[in-house]
Amino acid sequence: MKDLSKIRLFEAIDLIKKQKLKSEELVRYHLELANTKGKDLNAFITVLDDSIEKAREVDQKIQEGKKVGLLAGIPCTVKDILMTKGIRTTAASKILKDFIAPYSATVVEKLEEEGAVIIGKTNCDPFAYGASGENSGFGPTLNPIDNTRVPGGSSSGAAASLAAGIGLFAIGTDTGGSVRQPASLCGLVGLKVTYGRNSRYGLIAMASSFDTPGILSHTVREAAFIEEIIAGKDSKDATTYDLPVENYFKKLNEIKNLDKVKVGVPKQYFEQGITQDVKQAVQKTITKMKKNGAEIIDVSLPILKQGISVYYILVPSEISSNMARYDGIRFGRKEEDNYMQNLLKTRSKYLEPEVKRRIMLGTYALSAGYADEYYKHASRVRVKITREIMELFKEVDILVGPTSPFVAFKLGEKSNDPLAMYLADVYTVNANIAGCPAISINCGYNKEGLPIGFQIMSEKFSEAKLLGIAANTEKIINES
Amino acid sequence: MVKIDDKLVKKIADLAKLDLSKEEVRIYKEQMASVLEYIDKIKNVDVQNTEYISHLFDYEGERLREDKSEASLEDKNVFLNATEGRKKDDFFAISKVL
Repeated sequence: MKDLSKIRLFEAIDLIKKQKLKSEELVRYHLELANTKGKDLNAFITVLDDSIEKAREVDQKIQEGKKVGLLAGIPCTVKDILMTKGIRTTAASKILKDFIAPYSATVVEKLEEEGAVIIGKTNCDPFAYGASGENSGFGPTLNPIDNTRVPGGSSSGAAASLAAGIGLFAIGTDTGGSVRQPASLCGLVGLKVTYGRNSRYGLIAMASSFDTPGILSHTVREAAFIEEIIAGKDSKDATTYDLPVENYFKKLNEIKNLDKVKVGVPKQYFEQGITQDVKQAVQKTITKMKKNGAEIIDVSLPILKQGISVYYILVPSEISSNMARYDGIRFGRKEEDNYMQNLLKTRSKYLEPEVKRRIMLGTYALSAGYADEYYKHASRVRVKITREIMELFKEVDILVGPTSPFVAFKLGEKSNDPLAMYLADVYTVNANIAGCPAISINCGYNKEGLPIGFQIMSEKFSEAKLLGIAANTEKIINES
Repeated sequence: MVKIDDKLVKKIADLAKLDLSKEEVRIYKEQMASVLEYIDKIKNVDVQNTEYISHLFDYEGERLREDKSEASLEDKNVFLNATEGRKKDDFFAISKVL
């Protein structure tokens, strides 16, 4: 009898295809875990018990010798901000608590076409607004490593469930670090690709020029494998690029070591705000990269420090526009007969405090008299940051640093101080501002056993290089 | 220092179609001031030589798909979440506005 808790993605794919393991058996195990441990962690908004039927269908197909997809019978989870046809999709907000998705997100369709079995919709901050999961309209998610701490956010349930061994990979979304930061706080790999590489169709919009579907996994190899499946041009998302999807998984083998890789280390990443344990672990990793042949180049990019300001002007601005669609007309309970009263009451009653806060900030930044000073100015700073980062990539292959300035913090520690919470994104936002790909990998643990994340960023559409370097870095971290 | 007073918070809430309680006005006033104070540093960044681009990722080349009709959502899916009284014939019904 196999220990199902030890089976990871590639082994599962192999065993199921060779009929040494039934998908039904594996999916049942993960569903049970989702309904027990997953409930204790509040990692799920909806557990899809019926998914066992899909697992049976896959087993049947394999038994009959029919062709199956690359992820045949593999249990995974999807953040509840991505639409799943016929299944409740809430974006973790009370305003959508009974909303049934009328269609599926493109990334969800692609996974299902390859035979993946979605076992649940994971909890998150409402509409992905947050860095801890605590803003969710369905209650906070706990970190499985220490239940008194947050798992990070906004893809809180995605990270917590995967770290607890539920599902073999998780799909999240990253607007300013929402895949990478929870991956860091839960000791996982978190991949955010170039803006426009993965389709946003069916992703409930937060900030349309920042949002990117991403992957949480146990290893870089797994992330590369999944990314190859979900990437690509989508006629339903005009911002996706018509560039061929590289064979990320196969290409991992092309980068055999870190020899002569030019690693840029921005000094701004190690100034104020970073905690000592994070700093040490990250620097130790950089030293290991150097020992393994990488060329470490100290760089200075003062404008990186403006990232948070740009982000918290532009993102709330896009949010305030996107949230205008919640007008109380097409779904949910009618609150009042009068049109305007119904509109006001629906929004005021069901939108969570953080959602209102960001709508307020964005409306302010876009309002008459302030738009030039905030929105337009920040848009120009965004261009400036992007250009300076692009310039830097002429000299270096990658930029590295911490993913989060601190390890997983205590539940409630930052929930009354939005600014302190916003600063959790300080290292991750610049990749979204510039549209670059970035990945977080685990680089160790502090004295209390809490994981620390190491972030690698590269130029647009260089995912193959990013993943290859990340896989090698992961290897040298694990060797010692 | 950014000056945020009750009047401004209420004006913004009105524009955003949010009906805030007194307590919410008090909280958001404080929190907006603290966030804006931090992000205000951005005003010192010199962008004289940087143009304003509304969408950063526009690039040269054809982005729009060919203009031909494709299958779209079926009516039953469009109205999937239309609860009691929200649908009339093939339309969403709203209360009289004028």
